[in-house]
Amino acid sequence: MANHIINLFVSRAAKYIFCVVFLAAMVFRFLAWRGLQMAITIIGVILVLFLLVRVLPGDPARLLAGPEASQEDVEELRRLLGLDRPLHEQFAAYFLSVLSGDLGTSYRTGEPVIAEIMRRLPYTLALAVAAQSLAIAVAVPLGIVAALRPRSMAGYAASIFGVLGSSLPVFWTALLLIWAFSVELKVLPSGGAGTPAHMVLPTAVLALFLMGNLVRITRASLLEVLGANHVVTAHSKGLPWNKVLTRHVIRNALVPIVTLVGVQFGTLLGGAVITETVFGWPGIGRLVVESIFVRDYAVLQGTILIIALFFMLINFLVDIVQMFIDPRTRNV
Amino acid sequence: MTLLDVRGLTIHYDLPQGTVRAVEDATFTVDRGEVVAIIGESGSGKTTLAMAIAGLLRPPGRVVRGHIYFDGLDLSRLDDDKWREIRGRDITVVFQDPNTYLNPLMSVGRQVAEVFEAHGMGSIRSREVAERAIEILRRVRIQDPDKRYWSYPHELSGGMKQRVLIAMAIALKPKLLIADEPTSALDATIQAQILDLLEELRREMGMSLLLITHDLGVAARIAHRIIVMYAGQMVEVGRADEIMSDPLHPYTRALVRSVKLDRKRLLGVPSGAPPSLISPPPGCRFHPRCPYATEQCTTWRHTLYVRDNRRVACVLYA
Repeated sequence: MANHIINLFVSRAAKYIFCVVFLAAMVFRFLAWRGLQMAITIIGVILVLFLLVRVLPGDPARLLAGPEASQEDVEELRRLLGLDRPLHEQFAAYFLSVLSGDLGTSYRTGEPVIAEIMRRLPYTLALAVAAQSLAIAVAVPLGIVAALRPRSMAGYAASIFGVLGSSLPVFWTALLLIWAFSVELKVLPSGGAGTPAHMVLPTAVLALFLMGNLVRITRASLLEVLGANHVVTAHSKGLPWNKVLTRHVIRNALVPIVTLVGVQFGTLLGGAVITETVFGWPGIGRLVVESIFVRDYAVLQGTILIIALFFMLINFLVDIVQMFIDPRTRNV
Repeated sequence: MTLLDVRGLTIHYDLPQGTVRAVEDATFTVDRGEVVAIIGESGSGKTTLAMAIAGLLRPPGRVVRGHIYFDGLDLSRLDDDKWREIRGRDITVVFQDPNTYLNPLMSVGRQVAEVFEAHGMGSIRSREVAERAIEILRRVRIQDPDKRYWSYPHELSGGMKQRVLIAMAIALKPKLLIADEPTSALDATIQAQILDLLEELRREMGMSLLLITHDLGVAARIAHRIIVMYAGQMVEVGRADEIMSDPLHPYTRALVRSVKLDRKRLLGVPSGAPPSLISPPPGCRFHPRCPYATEQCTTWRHTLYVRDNRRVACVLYA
């Protein structure tokens, strides 16, 4: 008898251990595969970036030395920056330093690129998180109500947001809000950063832009799921409407919404170039524009590399979230 | 003893193009433990009729006239809350396409467990509800039900998915199970298995079965009585064996003959589709395709004539 129980226990334990090991192996395989994919993508990004930046017209040494500098001084500068060496040597040197975590130094300020990015990143992050949260908080509920009650106030509001949000250019809404709240009402600053009040207008402008697509996708996705056959099954069980809605409609409608939010947030992390420029917001987007103007290759390459990394990270997170929502995406 | 009593049920769809008269004046009964098959081509109104009885008719569909009495209750006068209690407990539905009628994002076990939750027997997260769901999965002959409980629909075959849908429908021992083309999406061998399973469960549980199908062969296999519908109207009602051996209505005759000769097409009837239900032909709706049609048929008013055990809507039997 005792023997029998021990046997049972052993076989249970063995089963359990087998399950855990199996699961761990699956997760490991997934992470390894995704890691490999990302590594290959990064190498590609570094290469394309390096070449693209050098195709830009304009001579960084000349721009840096100024129009009055002599030709010898410009040549000297070029040699110092390493820009006189053949392209493949420059690339090899850059690639190796990137791998060791060094993104180079700014031609303009002589500071490490990474320091400059770190100084700008919090501003971009703050703006991105604020705008994306606001957009989700308004657009998703609005889209849901619009799908459920198309002839209600929310339905009409959703249509208006859907059209205006994505068709009004950002610079125009930005100017409109500056005129209204800074010039006329004098309640909010028109530009700069520092206090929370400075964030209000850029956040509003970006959120409005994001809301357009988000409202439309939410409504369309919900309408599609509402018409799906499995919703009829849910009703046929006698399930209360609120449970049909949360379990069988909204959850299923989430898949395309999460995908869109991922793309939007990834884009925002790359810096909202126009918004940041209009409002003088010292984020990543402005850094890219500034470094293009002075042909600061090192900063430009470094910043865009970081942006690309962020984008990949967001995509990865979106995939993980989708796996939680949709079991069909779990078999990789 | 009568369980379901449908009287003069008329259902319209109000579309911008006009009013679709999907079901007109449907009148029939289903006894306790009885298997009644409603057969007809697609567009004959049979699914609309079934959905109305299950309380699942969606706008623009609406009941214009008539009553549905179920177990002494007038279903056409029920409010939403009362309907919710009946759906899933007393009247359940097995739908035609197991691939789209299951939620792809929820494990099949939980989808079965939801039936218990919906009728106040505990949350789907509770152990007892899960165990009851597993028991039901075993009942519909799903292998390893405790493992399958956590499977998602995409991991199961069509036949298995149909078994899951049947599991939901029998979980609370309903009085009436409506099976809407339960085998049309499956291949022939699985079809027979599913039909046998339905018939076996019906006998065990003593429930009534309303089988909606376009396939007279399927109907003849398990039905006690058959109702033949054409273009939204009942054209013949009778015992299954009698209809199969001696069909009266010209449409039924064509159907029976094509089943006996194992043909897909209707025999002895000019080919063509059933008429538009927005502007149906005057008189008998079958007359444009009927080999026996006379002048009379264009002005005849739809009536079911009683003939022995049979009711038939054709002027030949007036």
